[in-house]
Amino acid sequence: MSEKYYLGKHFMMGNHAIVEGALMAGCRFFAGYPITPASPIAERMSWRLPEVGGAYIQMEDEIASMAAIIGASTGGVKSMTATSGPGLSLMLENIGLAYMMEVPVVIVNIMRGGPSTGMPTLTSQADVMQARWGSHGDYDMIAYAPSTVQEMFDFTIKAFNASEKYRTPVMILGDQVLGLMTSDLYVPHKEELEVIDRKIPEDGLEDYLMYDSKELIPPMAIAGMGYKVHMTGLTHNDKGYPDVSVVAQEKLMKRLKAKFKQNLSNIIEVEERYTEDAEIAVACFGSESRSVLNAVKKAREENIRVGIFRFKTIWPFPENEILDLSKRVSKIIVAEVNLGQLIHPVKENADPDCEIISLPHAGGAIHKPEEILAMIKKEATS
Amino acid sequence: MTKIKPIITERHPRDKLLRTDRLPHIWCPGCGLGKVLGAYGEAVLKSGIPVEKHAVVSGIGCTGRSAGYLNVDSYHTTHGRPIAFATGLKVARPDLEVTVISGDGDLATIGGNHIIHAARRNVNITVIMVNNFNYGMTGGQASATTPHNARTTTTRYGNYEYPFNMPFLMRAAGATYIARWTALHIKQITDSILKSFENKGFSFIEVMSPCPKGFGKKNKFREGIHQLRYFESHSYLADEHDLTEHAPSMHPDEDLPIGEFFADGGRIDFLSSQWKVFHKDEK
Amino acid sequence: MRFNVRFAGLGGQGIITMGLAIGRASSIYDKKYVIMTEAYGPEITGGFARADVIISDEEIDYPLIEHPDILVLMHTDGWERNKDLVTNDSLVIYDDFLAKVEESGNGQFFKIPSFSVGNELGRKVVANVVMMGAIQEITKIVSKEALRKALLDLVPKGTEELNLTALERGYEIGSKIGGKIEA
Repeated sequence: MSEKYYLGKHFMMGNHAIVEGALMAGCRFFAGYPITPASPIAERMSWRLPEVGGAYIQMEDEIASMAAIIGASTGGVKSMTATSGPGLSLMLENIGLAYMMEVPVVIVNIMRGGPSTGMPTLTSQADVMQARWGSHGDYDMIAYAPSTVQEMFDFTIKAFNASEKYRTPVMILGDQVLGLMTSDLYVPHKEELEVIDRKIPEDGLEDYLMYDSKELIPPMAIAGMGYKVHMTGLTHNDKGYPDVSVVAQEKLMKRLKAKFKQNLSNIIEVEERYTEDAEIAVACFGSESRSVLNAVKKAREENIRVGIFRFKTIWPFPENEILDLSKRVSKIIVAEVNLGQLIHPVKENADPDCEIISLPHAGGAIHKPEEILAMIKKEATS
Repeated sequence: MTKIKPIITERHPRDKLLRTDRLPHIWCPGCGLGKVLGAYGEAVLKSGIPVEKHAVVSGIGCTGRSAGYLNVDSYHTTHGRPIAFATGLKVARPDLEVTVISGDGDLATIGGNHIIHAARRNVNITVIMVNNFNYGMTGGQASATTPHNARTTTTRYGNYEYPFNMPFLMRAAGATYIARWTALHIKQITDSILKSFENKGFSFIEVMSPCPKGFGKKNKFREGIHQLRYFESHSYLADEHDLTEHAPSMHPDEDLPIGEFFADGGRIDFLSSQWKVFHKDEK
Repeated sequence: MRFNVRFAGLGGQGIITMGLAIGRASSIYDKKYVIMTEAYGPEITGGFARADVIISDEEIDYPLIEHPDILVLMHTDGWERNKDLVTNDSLVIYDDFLAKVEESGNGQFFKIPSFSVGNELGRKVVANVVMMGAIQEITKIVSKEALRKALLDLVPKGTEELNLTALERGYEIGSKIGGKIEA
């Protein structure tokens, strides 16, 4: 079947841009369950996947959706699901499975107000810690935080690339404002994009090991190749067989951790604007960063030396970048649409002489620029 | 202490279907799971489908360990979710023959929602549910197939709930091949698995199995052989079995209907139905 | 130059379509920076519906509208929800049959018989297209050519003629009123 893409300039919803990015990245399987405000992703996938020769399935819940995309990915098919807070809560156990089995998958969370059912139609950034720590046990997460419709497209491709490259689940943390925002999008030719596919062993290797500890990221044999692989959520040895022992656990967990530790500079992306001479920086991500940018520009008009530090990836946490920033500015305001989550790793990693100030928001909306400006002014004069 | 040498038997034709480097298995003496594994291996060999095109998915529990002993592409997933995982694998890779082997706790209890939806979709997978009437691995607690009045570690005074009658549930949900056997019926299980491979759609095979350490010792089946004797004396072939009859009670006064309960080639399977819709503009 | 436009009414009136058509026209064909956000009640039809469109010559940071420069009302509900946002600089353009608006001291008000004209054309559903034509003439926030193209991109096949007729009727109504706003 031919592959159909809609190239060029679009006026498109953020949720839909994620779909187009995913298809460009090679996503050919989607399993999901309807939830506000992420449903437009599933809706578009349901008619777009057949246009590129892929398959869509609506599962009975988010637990099943997450399980299904891992299953599809073990078959060598790039897979994705999309949900919002309550659905993500249901996916968490299987996110741990994908991490432990080292199966590439992409999970989109279009954040809405919580806890519980919260505010289905209104925005939030309160799932930041859940994204990183939600599943049990020690694990790592790569999480992208787009802030424009174009970035919803671009970062989805990055998310697939990272998941394939590092054999790990990757999350996209959007929110209601971004998901349901319609704006400019440019879809380039596939040839202009960098698309990474997972490493697969050559056929017929005698000594192939699914979890070869001699390699940081072992190639992944897919179902049907003849390698008769075994993959399990149990602690396992190089072959993939269960080995529930202190020694095996330490060996496996250290390699898994190292996949991230040794690639921090390849994964982490941050953006600074107006920070060259700044005394204050506002750290933020996602839709909130647009409000911050507006406030920073206004403050600059009043000659306040303030800049913006934007997380394009939130996890793994940009520890060095925050430390570096904290040595250049005297104050960091952490503006986020939750009651103070990302401020904790910022505090933990910043220079002790740099003052870290929280600008929280209970959710339902992003900060208004004047609220951020007021905080900037207050901190500039105190 | 002198090491006891294992008794080396001749190589068995099905050995290549097993991960012999992982043996001995973890299952208790008297357990019926080895029989199911053997039947599956036999069916794979007889199926004519290349071994590398077979995949097994299992969940958590004693039966959930099956995937780990079978020398095919095998996935040991989370508790209750193997059917959802298998659905993803099969829909993404229709060329594979995907079989779920898991227990009653995994499939009928925590995974109950997935099994009814997979049957409703008539998704092209085979599910072998080994029913030992309790949670064996965690120490013999009650499951959704534990008979009424049966004793388990969580129903000391007798089970005041009533179990699922799984073939009836599967019939109502839309499965297109339904059979029930006991761990004594190896030939029949093998044939049922072969028919399931051929069935375009969702196939469900329940295999009642002794669990002497979990279910048995609290319910007058002290050894595996006692429960097997019960299966032998109480089961009767009921091809035309009325599916609405009660679930297996494991009671000395009641019989166990077994057999092929349902086979319906008329209902369209998930993949064909999806293909038809996706390609409706093509000739 | 930046315009904040809010379309407000009820679900089923084509509020989101208005936002999409004018947004698409400005973005794709007039090559402006555009952001549209939407909000609605839990009812698919009959609940409140709102589309906010920001049209700008510069990249847009804050994506939400706090004070609409142009408030388009297809129902009284939209007025009730937004009347406090109207300032001296606001243009309020409303359907004269569906939206009961108390024209106060603040802002400029324009009554448009979009529903009646839609009715005349035999299809009430094109009231929003009539309204778009009027908005174009009154505000010039979007070019005629762009709006026409964007509308044709969005409407179902077979309804192009009806929609273009409705758009023309809107232009006529708008041109009689005039009142181009200055940026």
